[in-house]
This record gives sequence, C-alpha cells and structure tokens, in this order.
Amino acid sequence: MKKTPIVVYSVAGRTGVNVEPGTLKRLAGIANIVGVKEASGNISQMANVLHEVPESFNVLSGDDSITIALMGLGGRGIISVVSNEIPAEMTQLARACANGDYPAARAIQRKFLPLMNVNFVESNPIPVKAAMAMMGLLKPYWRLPLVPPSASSEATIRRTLVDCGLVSE
Amino acid sequence: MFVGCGTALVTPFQKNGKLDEPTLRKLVRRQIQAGIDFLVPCGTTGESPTLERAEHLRVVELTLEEAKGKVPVLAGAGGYNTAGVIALAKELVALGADGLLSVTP
Repeated sequence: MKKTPIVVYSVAGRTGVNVEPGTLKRLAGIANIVGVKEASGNISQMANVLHEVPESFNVLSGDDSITIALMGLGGRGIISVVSNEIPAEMTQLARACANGDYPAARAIQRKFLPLMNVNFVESNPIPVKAAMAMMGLLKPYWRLPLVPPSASSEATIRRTLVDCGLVSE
Repeated sequence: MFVGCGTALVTPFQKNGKLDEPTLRKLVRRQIQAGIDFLVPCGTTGESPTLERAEHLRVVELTLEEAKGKVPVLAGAGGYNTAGVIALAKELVALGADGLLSVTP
C-alpha cells in the first residue's frame, strides 16, 4: 500500500518551534513527506529552505500576502485563508505565479491585500468567518475561546469587503 | 498533488454550537466551482483545537464526500500528543484523505 503524503506545517509564531532548513532537508528524504507549509513569515529562511530541499519538494506559503514572494523563489503554492472568501481570485494568483506571470499575480494582490490583512485584524479565524457571514456564506458562530469580533473590527471588515467589491454598501 | 492554491477551510457552526453540515457542504462545493486546487479541512483556520475527535473526522468526511475525485483533500492532523496524532492520522487515511498536514508540536 502506498503511504499517505504528508505536508509538514512550520509556524514558529504559533508553536514556538521553528523547523530549520536542515531539518526539512532530512525530512524531504522520507518518501511520503512531500512538502512544507512554511508560515515563519521569514523570506530569507524560505530561500534557505528552497535551497536545501530537492526540486520535487513542495514549499507552500502559509501567509497569503507573501505568496508571490515565495513562489518567486521557487515555492509551489499557498495554503490560504483568504481563499475562503475569494477562491477563484486566489487560485488565479497562484496559477499566475506558477506560469511566471507576475504582473497578473500582482494585480490580484493589489486588489485584495487589504482583505488578506483584515483577516488577521483579530485572531484567525474570527475575521474571516465574520467576513464570510457578511457575504452570506455562513452564520457567524465561533467556539470559545474565540469570540465575535469587536464592533470596530467588524466595521473595518465590512469596509474592506465593500472596498474589494465583495458586499454592497 | 498539493500545489497551487489550497484553502484552509473554516468550519461553520450553528447557533447552538453544533457543526453546520449543510453549510460546510455548500462551502466545499463553492470552492470546487471556483477552481480551487486542493482543500485543507481541520487546520487551525478550521478551529481544530475546539473540534471533538468525532467532529474532526466528520468535517473531513463531509469534505471528502463533496470533493472526492474532484480536488485532493489534505486533512489537518497535528497536535501535541504524538500517539494521538498517529491515531487520528490513521482514521483520516481510512476515511480517504489524500494527504495529511501536520503541524509541529
């Protein structure tokens, strides 16, 4: 039986543990470890990871706003939060990068960077679910310890959605 | 298999706190219609820390029901308890998950 592919998730900001490029090099030698979601936010570390691992190893961004930078260095995609709201557009951004069409990717980024950022105005996934509720995609319920966004965050989220053309005034 | 844009799916709840299964199915269908490359249920964006084991499996199962044969599903399987993560991973693979996303402890 073929072993299930595994993607390593490295998010030092949340776990307190960084997965070093050298560690990923060793992990990449294991047949069913096929990639990493690199959410360190550290572009220079990502460059080092890409330098250490074989071409076939998929380095994926864990931060929507730096997908273009990571894919420019050789990353292969993004595990996205903003694609909950704009799946077609974020898929196009990743596809444009994969095709080397960075001007097209940047045009999408220019339009939606405020949305990528507003998704982290409070702890994820508070803002993204609030936004999706405003878009009529789900009901705005979270489980404790997550709570609904503050009134001011909610106003910011709504304003961003209006500016991005995702809800009307 | 896991290249391009994969969505770290949110988990919709009802007012009473239970899973909102019809909405989850709708969200997955919307993703597929939009052309998403792969789906990632039960990551931290999917509020995995507050999902019971049975709910975690159910979210992945529903995602697979809608996505199977259309887009690959990379199911979240991380945590502090290595033995627990291994047991969860085995159950997710048995459900048909195409891959596992595992965060460092």
